[in-house]
Order: sequence, then C-alpha cells, then structure tokens
Amino acid sequence: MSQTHPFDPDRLSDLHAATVGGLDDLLDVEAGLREALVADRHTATGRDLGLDVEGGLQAIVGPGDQSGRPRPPEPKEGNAAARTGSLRSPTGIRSHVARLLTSLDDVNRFAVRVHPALEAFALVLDFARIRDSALDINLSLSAELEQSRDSARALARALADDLDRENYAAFARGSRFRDREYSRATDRHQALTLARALDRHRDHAIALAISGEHDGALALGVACDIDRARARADALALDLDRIYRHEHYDRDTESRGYRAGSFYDGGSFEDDYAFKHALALTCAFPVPINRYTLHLVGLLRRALDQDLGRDFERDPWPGLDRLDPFYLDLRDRDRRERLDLDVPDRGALDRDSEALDRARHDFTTADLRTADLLWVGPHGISLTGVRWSDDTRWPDMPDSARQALRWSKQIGDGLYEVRDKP
Amino acid sequence: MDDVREPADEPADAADFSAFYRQQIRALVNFLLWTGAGAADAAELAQETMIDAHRNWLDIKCPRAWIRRVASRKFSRLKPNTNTTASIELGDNRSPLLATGQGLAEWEQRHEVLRLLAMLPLRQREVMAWTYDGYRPQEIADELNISSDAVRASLRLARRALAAQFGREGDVE
Repeated sequence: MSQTHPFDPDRLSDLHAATVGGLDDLLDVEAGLREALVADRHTATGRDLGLDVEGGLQAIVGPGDQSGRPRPPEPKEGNAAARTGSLRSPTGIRSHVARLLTSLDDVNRFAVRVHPALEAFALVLDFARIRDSALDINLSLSAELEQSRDSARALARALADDLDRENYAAFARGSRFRDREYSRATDRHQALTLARALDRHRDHAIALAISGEHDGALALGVACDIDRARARADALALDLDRIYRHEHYDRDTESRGYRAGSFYDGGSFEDDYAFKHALALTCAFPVPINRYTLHLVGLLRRALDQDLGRDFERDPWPGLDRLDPFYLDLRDRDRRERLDLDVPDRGALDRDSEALDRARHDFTTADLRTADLLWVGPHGISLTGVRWSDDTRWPDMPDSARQALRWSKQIGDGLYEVRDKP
Repeated sequence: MDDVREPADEPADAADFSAFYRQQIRALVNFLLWTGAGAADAAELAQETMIDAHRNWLDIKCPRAWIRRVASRKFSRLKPNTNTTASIELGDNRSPLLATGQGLAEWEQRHEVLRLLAMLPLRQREVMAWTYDGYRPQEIADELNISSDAVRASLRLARRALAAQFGREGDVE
C-alpha cells in the first residue's frame, strides 16, 4: 500500500498547516482573548458569589482578613509582588480601572464607557475630589458632601453588587431575574435621592460663594463640580429608567414599583435586595460588554470596599446611623476587614479621575468603524462627553447617532466634544 | 519570552499577553486537535489554558511550551466520554472562543486527518502534536518525561500508521 501511496512526511506538515488554517472558520480569537483577560477576575468574582456574603467579601478584600477564611492567591514574590500589591490600595485599583479601559481596543472601550457601574465609579471619584475641595471651604459643607458621597457610593456599590450577582446567576442558572419593577423603583429612588442631595449641596456652595465668607472662586469651583456630578447622577437615573424600559411595563407593574419604593423608604431591606436588580442592566448591553463588566465589577467592589474602609477608620461619621441597614452592614464589614489603609492623596485622585475620564471619553484617534451605534439616542446610550476629532473613524451611523454628534462643541483645533444639548 | 515582564496590573502586561494569545491560540487549539481532542473540547481547553496562562503570566518563562504542557494535562484529565464534539452541549455554554456552536462536526469531517490521528494511541498523538508544532525530540522527551529514543520511536510508529491509513483511504485532507 505504501508503494501505491508513498508516504511523504512533508504531507503531514501540510495537513498540520491545513487544520490550523481551517480554525479561522471556527474561532473568534478576539472574543476568546477578551474572556481570557477578564477571566481571572471573573473566577474570583464567581467564587465569592457562590459563598455567603461575608466569605465573598473576604475573598475580595484578602489581605485584611484575619478570620482564616480562604483567600485569593497572594501576589507573586519579588518585584512583581510589590507592584501587583498596589491593587490592594484604593489608588492602585482606581488607576487599574482606567488602565484596564485603556488597554481595550477602541470599539470595546467605546461600548463599555457607558456602563452604569462605570458611571457610578466615576461619580464616586468625583465625590472624593469634591469632598477634598470642600474641606478647604467649610467643614459643615464637607460633612454634607460626605453624606452625598456616601449615597453615591452606596448606589455604586449596589450596582456593582447587582451586576456581579446577576452575572453569576446568569452563568450558574441561566435564570432571569424577578421583581424587576421593584428594582426599578429602588434604583431610581437611590439615584434621585442622590440628585436631590446634590442639589442641596450645590446651593450651599453657591451661598458660600455669594456670602464672601470663603474664597469665592474655590466655592464656585466646588459648585461646578457638584453640578457636574449631579448631571451624572441624573444621567444615571435616566440610564436606569431607559434600561428598565426594555422590560414589560404597564400600569400594574408601575403600581407595584411604587409600593416597592415605599417599602424601601420605610427602611426595610431584604437580604436579597442586590439579587433583584440587574438582569435588565446586562441585557441592555451587547454581550461582550458583560465580559468586561465581570472584571470591572470586581475592581469596583474592591475599590469601594477600600475607600469605605479608609474613611471609616480615619473619620467615623455618626450620621451614618441614619443610613439603611445595608449600608451599616457595609460599614461593619469594612471596619473588620480593612487594615492596610491608604492615605488619600488629592493629586492621585485628580490623576485617577483624569485617567478615567480619558479612558471613557477620549476617542480622538479611535477606529470605531465596527462599533454598534444603533443604541445611541435620547432614549438609548448617550454619546455625551465623547471627545472625537477629524481622525476618529466612525461606522455608518443611524440618524440618532448623527444627531448626537451634531451637538458636539469644538474644543480645540479639529477636536470636538459631544454635548447633551446643542 | 524569558525577559522579565511587567506585573499583571500594567497595560504592557495585557498587551504582551494579548499579542501572545493572538499568535498562539489557533496553534494551541490545533495542538489539542492533533492530540485527539474534539473541536469543542479543544477550543474549551485551549481557552482554559490561556486563562491559566494569563493568571500566571509573571511566572511563565516559556509560555509557548507551557500552554501546550498545561493543555495536554487538561486533555488527559478529561473523561473519556467527553472528548467528542457530540458530547458537548454547546449553545450558551460554549466557549467564547468558538465563533459558533454550529457545524463543528462538519468541520471535523472536513479534516479527515484528525479522524485518522484519533486512531493512534495517545502517546503517539502527543508526539505528533509536539513534533508538528516545531519541537525537537529531546524537547518533547523532556515535556513528556520519556526518553528521546521513545519519542523517535513513537513518531516513527505514528507516521507508519498514518501512512498505512493514507494508503487505505486515498487522499486525505
């Protein structure tokens, strides 16, 4: 047989090359890479969600844990340890979020930038900066800002928790969430409460400026910052509203939603609150984003944990007692679990905030030709804040996206920023 | 690849890993196919291996060999009845690396050589997979913890068996 079909070893090389080449039909390399990049965080996230909440938080907080529960693997020894260890500091994680975003390709960065969890994280960063500014002006204003920041942080935390749990649940059971109307009511309630609080603090800051009691320019600067943060809070509320609008909505569900909101107002808080939130959040975005979400959410949770822990250790605030049990529980856990506290650094906060802003909004040299703009519009994903230039490469645009870009303002030579109004 | 790498929280590290992933993922899937895995398993195991690689990126000195070694072990730990595409429930559970859950069986059929390779003993398949990924007998011997003579013998037997199959079945793609 070998005489009629002489065997040529090179033929096997050809066949080997052929099977490799044929894999292009089967594999989505970029999707695989995205998962590989986030999967280590995903694994940790999934693991902690499979446990009780205490165990889960310990897995995230890690180094502060003294209870002997299982912890994530420690960083490697040597130089790498010192640098990866930076992820245990709030500054390290904040920076890491921006770096992670920056490391994404343009299209995915463009898609991820609007995720509510990321929006909430930016809001918390803003509040941290505002609070530091306010310390220079007026301590009572600072205390009120602290309260607002706490609200923002609680909102961010809830979003992060919800997304985390939802993703786990989706992976584990493929189930759909229940009580979306309840979620809608509570999410909006938190966002609007935050917006109202911001209003008050903005008024305070402006009043301070007018009174001349303090440095006017500084106070006005704070007011502007608060205004910006409030716009974000409003946008977040709108996001939530928009997201839940994808779900079935009728008079009955609205009624149930209001009842759920009242329930929440009364201070009751179910343990599985977080479990009820976020299918709609993830459903509303293209699938690949959820993969990033898994990574981002883990980082956000750790950042928020550490941020909370730092502040509670340094400056316990008695007014916290008025907050809901969920938040008090967070405080207790953070007190227990946070040991290596980081000294806040205003410069670092500014840098992190700017880096995050660039990562989320700077598309001046981006190639977005494969980006999906179908969701862009007044009732969809917002382009507000996106900076672009003549070098930005856009896909074919639906009218809604075209309209949003028309509302851009020129901010430099050939540079534009999308505004929410003409 | 022996250079000291940036830590995992540096963008340079992500870029480094990403470049490696893009360069090697097809080869790794193919390596597993030649080792005898079905297409779905190959994609799944390759992806798992790459995730492990990312997690341990700072420690891996020779990632190209490392991923093959780890993937090989993962494959050898698979239960015997799970190494075919038909046994895999795809749908939403498929690896994101797989562009589609459809047509895997057809794809495998198009590459008849894979079916012929599957008839060989595992050791011979392993030696073939390493060999056609460019490794020398001594390197393969180190990886498989056998002698280089055993590697050469396995390779010779595998080629002879495949030649016989080619002879019986005519042209093979």
